[in-house]
Amino acid sequence: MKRNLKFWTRYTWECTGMVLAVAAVLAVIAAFGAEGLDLRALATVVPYFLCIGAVFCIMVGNSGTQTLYVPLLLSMGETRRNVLLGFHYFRALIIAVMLALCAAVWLLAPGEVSAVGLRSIPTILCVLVIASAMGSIMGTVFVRWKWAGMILIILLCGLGGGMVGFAGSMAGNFLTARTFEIASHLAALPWWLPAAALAALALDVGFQWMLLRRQEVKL
Amino acid sequence: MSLHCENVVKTYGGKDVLHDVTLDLKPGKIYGLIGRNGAGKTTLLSILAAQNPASRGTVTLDGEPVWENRKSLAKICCSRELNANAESGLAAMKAKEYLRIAATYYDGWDKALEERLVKLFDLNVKKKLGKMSKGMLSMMTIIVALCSRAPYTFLDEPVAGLDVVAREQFYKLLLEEYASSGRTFVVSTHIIEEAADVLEEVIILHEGRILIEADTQAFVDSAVHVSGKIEEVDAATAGLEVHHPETVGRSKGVTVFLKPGQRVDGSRDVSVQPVSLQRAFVALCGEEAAR
Repeated sequence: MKRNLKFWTRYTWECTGMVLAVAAVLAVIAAFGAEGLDLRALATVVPYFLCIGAVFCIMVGNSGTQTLYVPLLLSMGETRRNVLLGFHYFRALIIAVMLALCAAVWLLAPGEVSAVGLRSIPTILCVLVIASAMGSIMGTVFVRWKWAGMILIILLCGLGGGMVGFAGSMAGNFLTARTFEIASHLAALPWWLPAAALAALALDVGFQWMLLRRQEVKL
Repeated sequence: MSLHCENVVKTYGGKDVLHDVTLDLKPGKIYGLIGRNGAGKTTLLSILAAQNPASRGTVTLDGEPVWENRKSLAKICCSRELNANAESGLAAMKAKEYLRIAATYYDGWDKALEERLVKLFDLNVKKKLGKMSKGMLSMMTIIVALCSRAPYTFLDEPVAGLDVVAREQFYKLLLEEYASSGRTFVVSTHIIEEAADVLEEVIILHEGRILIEADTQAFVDSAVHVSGKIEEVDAATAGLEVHHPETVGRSKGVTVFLKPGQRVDGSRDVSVQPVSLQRAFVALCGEEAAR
């Protein structure tokens, strides 16, 4: 288990680096798009950029993990059960790191948006869990059904890329008065979102284990 | 300690690829797993290392099942030919990253040996696997296999992409490691002649069945090539296990596998020559191709 923790923890930090890079790019676009640079206002919206980056990176990362790291670790003598546990540890850890980063930034830059942001953490948690499950399902589908999986991955990556692009184009607006309005929507947790997150997670774990326990290692 | 598989069957799309394979790999030996393309060598090694599930049958190490048993799996390393083409996720991975993961997952990883082999093979570990040649990828599989220090180490086609110098280096390293550690190696290869001197035991797999599991020298010694006039050869080999007959005009050549106590009739006008492991293998498994 020790080697599993070591591997997946390191992988979490690598993915965190990717998320930070995406968030930094969005923050730079936002800073250039805004009229006048208000660092405090920028800081309050950076967590949203982190979330967008996290959704994108977690989806792509989980999909890649299923196609690369799962067979690789199986080929190196790890059990299927441990691979599954390690993968879910990584998924839980990266979501926890993202939420902690968002909360830390909002706590360090208090204000109207930050207060709303802190209240939206349950919503962000649900969104990240859904993104994580979708990425994992994409990877599982790809491992099992190659081309059908690939088409699904392209569609979802297109959606993810579109989200990042949209966020980039709207980045300037985040620093205007609309920020509070947009953030307020996230603060309200609709009843169906946690249910959807749980359903996605259950579907993903069940589906993944069903295929993993008979999966053949192909590198 | 022994790695044992009992009545292993593997089925793909309703077709049996392995038929009731029973095998016992004893510690401290170098086995050669040889067979034609599609004989089931990679499938068998993958099942022994729990990389692939068997359709039926069991694999045990010291009496304990290997499947989903980390304690047993920690004693096995199956280093397979890497396929780092554009479709593979491995293509974007750097060689040093691959070795780092291997070092994390193999308990007995020998870092000093890794550094020595990387230097010996002149590998650029900063290079992505997708940018490496077939030979370099073979070197990677050899490094993982040797550095893992797993008591049971399987090498699937380790010399496939290597030039003759690198192949010589590999066999030397294999013997060096074997002499110092006493580990069990199973080497699957197509280049039989070169490997023959290294292999203590030979396992011949043909169409998913084990044809021969024997001491290499004893197996080679049991086979002879008999040639001469057709009627003389037929008379000299009557009642013996004859394979791979080749007829040219009135002359004939056959490979004969002698059981203990059997011999070719020396009173006949035939030439009896020893055969190499490769020739014995072709005689056993190449008959369909010859027909």
